[in-house]
Amino acid sequence: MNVKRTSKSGLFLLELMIIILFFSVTSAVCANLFVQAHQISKKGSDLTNATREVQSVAERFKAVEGDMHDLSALYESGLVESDRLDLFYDAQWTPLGTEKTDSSEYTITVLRSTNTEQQVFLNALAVSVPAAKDQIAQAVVIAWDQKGEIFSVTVQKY
Amino acid sequence: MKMAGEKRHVVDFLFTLALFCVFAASALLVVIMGANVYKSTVNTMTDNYENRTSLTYIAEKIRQNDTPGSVVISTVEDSPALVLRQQVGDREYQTWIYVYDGNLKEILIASDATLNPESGQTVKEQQSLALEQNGSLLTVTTTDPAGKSESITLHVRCGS
Amino acid sequence: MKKNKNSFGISVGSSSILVVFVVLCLTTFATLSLVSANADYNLSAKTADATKNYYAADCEAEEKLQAVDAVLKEVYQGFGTDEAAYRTQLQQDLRLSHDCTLLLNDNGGALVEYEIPAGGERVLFVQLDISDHYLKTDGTIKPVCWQIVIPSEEDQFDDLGNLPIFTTDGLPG
Repeated sequence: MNVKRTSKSGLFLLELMIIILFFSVTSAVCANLFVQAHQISKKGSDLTNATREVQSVAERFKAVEGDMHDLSALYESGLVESDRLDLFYDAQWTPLGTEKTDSSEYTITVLRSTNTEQQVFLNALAVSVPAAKDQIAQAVVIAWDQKGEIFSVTVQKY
Repeated sequence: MKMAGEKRHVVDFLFTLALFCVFAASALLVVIMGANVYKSTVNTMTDNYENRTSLTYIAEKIRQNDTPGSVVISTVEDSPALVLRQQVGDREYQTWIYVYDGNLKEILIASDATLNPESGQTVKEQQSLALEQNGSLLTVTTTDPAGKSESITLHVRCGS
Repeated sequence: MKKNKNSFGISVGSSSILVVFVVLCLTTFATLSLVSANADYNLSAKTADATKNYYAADCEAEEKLQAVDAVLKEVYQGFGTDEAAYRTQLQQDLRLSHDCTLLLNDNGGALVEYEIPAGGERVLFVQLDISDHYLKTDGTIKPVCWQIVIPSEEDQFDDLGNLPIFTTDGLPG
């Protein structure tokens, strides 16, 4: 009778161990799926916000007819480089102005075309800005963060 | 011998029970964590949807009506409304986009008709709509039912 | 002894049931999260694509605007003196090289119109008032229409004589 009771307890322990093994494998897989889902939803959210903000900047570029000084005046700042304007946004895509701060996570850069084709480097991201066509103001408006490009458009105004 | 046997038996039982309880508690914890992650993913997606829909819809409507003088800001019962005018044949029609009763609504009426805010077609739930014009730049700000605001600026090409 | 046997019996069964329940819950949540996150991302990507297409069409429209300006200057230089020849040459140049249509009305007004596809069924329809530049060396070109149209909807309107009813198909993506 002692042997029977021991083997019953042993059986239960064995079953519990197998169950724990199965459970840990499954929860590892599910945790992986959760992380992936979270990353994808963040990516989608970033894309939507970037699309909206890049449009706002591009439309302003069109409204000032490609004049970078007027464009930076719209954002209440002075122009540092004549062919480039950087706008910073925090994690919730609230505009932080044209100066980089600690809380800035996303950047929208306006790269105005010059006479020749250019290759501009935004951290590790390489952007090729096509040459400007005669009498047309052209710019590449690109939203990017540390991981790379999120969204970009080319905008022109005659 | 019987007593020793009984001691082993009680300890065995308690140990397996304790192990089982620990396992059950951790399983429950994992399920609760999973539910929380799911909840936060759904919240992010809902915000994303709200964000995306209203402004894209209004931007598209404005881009479908870019002629001189066709994009006008007006009011519907003290709240801002976007009026898009179009000429069809010899009659002028107006598309009104406004927020009424917690919903973003759209209605197409003849210019000489009176607007009844209730009869607009509901597009989606919306808390409020704000419109600001700065030269040829029109800034549209929408607030979703959760209270979050987003805005987009559009350039009206043909002027007003 | 009987009690002990029974209590072991209950414990053995419930472990399995508990773990099956938990695994089912977790798998459901994880799969649901992943699938709906993917669906949402696809919608965002579609919207982004539609926006890119619109701006590509807009760029092309601006380039055509410049081309129309250039053609007007060129044709005036060649045929400025003879109105009929000017008109014919202008119409031909615009249609053949730039796929634009010239419209003239009785009051001396002149319009140039063209369409640029903007992704899917959408088309960017542009109408330029060139009355200030028509039969002159130079002048301003004023856009009087720069809008997205969906040709299938327009046709519907023309045939039935009714106004298009707003549907969700009109939204991008």
